[in-house]
Amino acid sequence: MSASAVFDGRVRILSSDTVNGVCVFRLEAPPQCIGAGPGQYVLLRHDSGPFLPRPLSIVSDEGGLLIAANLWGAGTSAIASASVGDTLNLTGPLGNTFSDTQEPLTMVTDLSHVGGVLALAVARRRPDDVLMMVADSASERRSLDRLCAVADVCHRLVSSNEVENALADCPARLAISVKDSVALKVQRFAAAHGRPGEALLHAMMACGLGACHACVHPMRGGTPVLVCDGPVFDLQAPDFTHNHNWVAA
Amino acid sequence: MSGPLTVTVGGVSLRAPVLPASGTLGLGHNRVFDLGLLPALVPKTVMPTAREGHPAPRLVEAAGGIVNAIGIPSGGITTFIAQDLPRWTAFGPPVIVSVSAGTPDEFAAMVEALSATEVAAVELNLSCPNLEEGGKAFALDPHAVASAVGACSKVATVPLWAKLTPNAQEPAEPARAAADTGAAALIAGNTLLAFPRDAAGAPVLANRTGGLSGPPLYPVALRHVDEIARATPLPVIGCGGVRTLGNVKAMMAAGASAVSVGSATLQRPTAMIDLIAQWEAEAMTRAAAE
Repeated sequence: MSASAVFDGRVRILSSDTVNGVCVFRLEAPPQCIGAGPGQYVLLRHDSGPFLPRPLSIVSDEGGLLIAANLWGAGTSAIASASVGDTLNLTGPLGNTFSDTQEPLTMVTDLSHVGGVLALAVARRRPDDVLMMVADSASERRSLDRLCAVADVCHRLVSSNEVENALADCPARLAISVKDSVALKVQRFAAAHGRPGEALLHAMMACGLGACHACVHPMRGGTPVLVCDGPVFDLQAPDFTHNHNWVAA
Repeated sequence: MSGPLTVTVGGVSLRAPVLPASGTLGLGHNRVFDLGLLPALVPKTVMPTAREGHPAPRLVEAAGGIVNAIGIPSGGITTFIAQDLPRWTAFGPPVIVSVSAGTPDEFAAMVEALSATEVAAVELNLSCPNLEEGGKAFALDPHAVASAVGACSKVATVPLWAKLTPNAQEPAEPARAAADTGAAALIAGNTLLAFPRDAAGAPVLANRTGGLSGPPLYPVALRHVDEIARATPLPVIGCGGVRTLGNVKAMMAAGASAVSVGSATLQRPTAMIDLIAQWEAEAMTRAAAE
């Protein structure tokens, strides 16, 4: 890999729109980010924000880098408060991608972890795929509807309690990025029914390059992994019982 | 190797007196910039045997900086020398290997093993608990510092850099102990012990306590550099919260011979490269004017 495979520098905000607590924005795309795959992410920081950048998935690279950030805390709020023409510091692209499969796919996500799976749905745009959005409040449902409208993808809304039943009549292969309590349900369902799949993990991240070892996630085999070494792993590998539920705040 | 900023610190020639703090630079940074451009390479601290480190969460933002409780995950010294070290030395700059251990003998065994390699110097990370003295960090106790550095000096054929801690109330005492027992340079210092809690008062880190770094540590580090530089004749490498060229210059004015950059690299991978480039450009402009 060349020394410049990952960009680190300033990029301009081309557009920015915050609706229902979700900021959808496009950034100038560094050449390294063109062609980024679903699951890959960038570290973003506005000068007015907290110390560390925030890892946010690249939803699309058409017309600039499309990023969707649920506004959880000071880091994402600082990014959302920036105006068109302002610059952010961007490091990326980072991480691996979901597998490129020809089989129909069931994708499961929620508002807090939506970027990577939304990117997958956008990249595939297959009519036989199912994009399942887990939402337990009217506010979450509105925000997810809004996101899917921006991304121009069809989706199915379910509550946390409906996930297992909803999976029964969906394509067998799974791709998930969702809070740990729901991920655990999906993981157990998949194991019981012999369904293959992948999970995109989340963790508090600093360098994103494997140096600091901050972004650790427990795994069922015992030895934890660095999320930046993924973030996409086999669905049966992570230990979701710890209920980390980290989100980019 | 010479340039407008070239210095020799603690037996190691550096293209510029700026180097990475251990634990903040990895081989993955070569995907962002050529690691060969750095004045020196400092991998994450190596332990005698393999260990996983602390459970998550390991890191939290606090007070304008960060608090980490990573727990020094390591593959162990044997694996490091066989598998990791050749990848670091291949980039060209001097490699300074950071090691830590629970006893002076363990420190010495690692230093002896590293002395047979291409490392330019060994950093003794003395912030680890001294298992023979009730778990108190080596760097807090001048006698423990003397034991560890003294044991390493007997077997070392490369310079030893002793990394001290800002948690020491009287930093001059462990600094003198390291100087008297064979250290070639002193690093002042490391993270500052902290206990971050959430809004409800609950611990945030799985390990409860962690080390504060970043901008809030900067004035603390300045004080330690000042006291340690006045206490010993050894070169001092200032470490703590440095982000700007102004920070670097102020730390050198306080007595540092070089400066380590840590958390700034976590915030932006190219922070150190940009800082050095800015300083070199400034030095060359000044030289041209003269």
